[in-house]
Amino acid sequence: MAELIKQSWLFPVIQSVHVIGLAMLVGTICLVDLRLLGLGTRGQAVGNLAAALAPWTSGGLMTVLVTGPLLFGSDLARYVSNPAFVLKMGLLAVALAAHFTLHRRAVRDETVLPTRHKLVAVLSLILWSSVVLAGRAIADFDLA
Amino acid sequence: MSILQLCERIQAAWLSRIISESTWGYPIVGALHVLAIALFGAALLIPLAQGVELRWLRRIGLALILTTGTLLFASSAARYYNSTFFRIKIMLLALLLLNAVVARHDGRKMHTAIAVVLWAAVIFAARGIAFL
Repeated sequence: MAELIKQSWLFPVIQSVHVIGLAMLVGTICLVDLRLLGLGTRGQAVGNLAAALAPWTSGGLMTVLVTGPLLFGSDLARYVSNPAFVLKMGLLAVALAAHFTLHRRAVRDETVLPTRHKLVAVLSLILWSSVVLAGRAIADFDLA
Repeated sequence: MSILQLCERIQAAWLSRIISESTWGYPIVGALHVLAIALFGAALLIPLAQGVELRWLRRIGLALILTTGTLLFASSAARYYNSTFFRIKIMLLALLLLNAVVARHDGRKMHTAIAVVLWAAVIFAARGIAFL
């Protein structure tokens, strides 16, 4: 299976699905972050917007969590020795942890101070952008 | 001057060489390209499901995609020109432009659906460029 993915057109196809999942996941999170910062979609309450986008966010998350390990599994040696990949996994762990704690609370709790909302939004934007940046850089930092 | 010669001139320009010859130029512009795709993609999909208008966000996202995309192309124009998948991608983008122009003259919903399908195809073609 791993060899098949690595050496056939399956690799770019799975990668494309990974990018589409990423757009759904990171794109919708960014929309909520921008709303927390007071930019765009101001007609809707933060909680409503986040709830409306939730299926897209979780759909995107599931997509990347299926396609990501498939890509990783196709060439373990390449990825574990790739500094961009290792960095991406570290950033991903922090981004996910922040998303399901700080971010979730900021979105749900209307009583939280606006300044705190904004800090959480900026942190979230930085973390997810860094995950994408590191992910994209994997192809540029192959040691082999 | 042939198109290939034009591409060679483009990639010899100073801005192109800054991107292609530096360590971080290409990865950073490439990452911004993907981030802009995420933003644009969400702003394209969400109104379809929610009826929220996100036109300004789509415009910012698209502007960023086109800017970073042009820079990535310029950094090794001749290689992209010779890539079959790149040519397919450009043709798909031309279809998207056509779809956008037609959408201005009649009902919206179907054109958004066509745009979503075409954009997905663009992503597949783009990954194909790196693969071949």
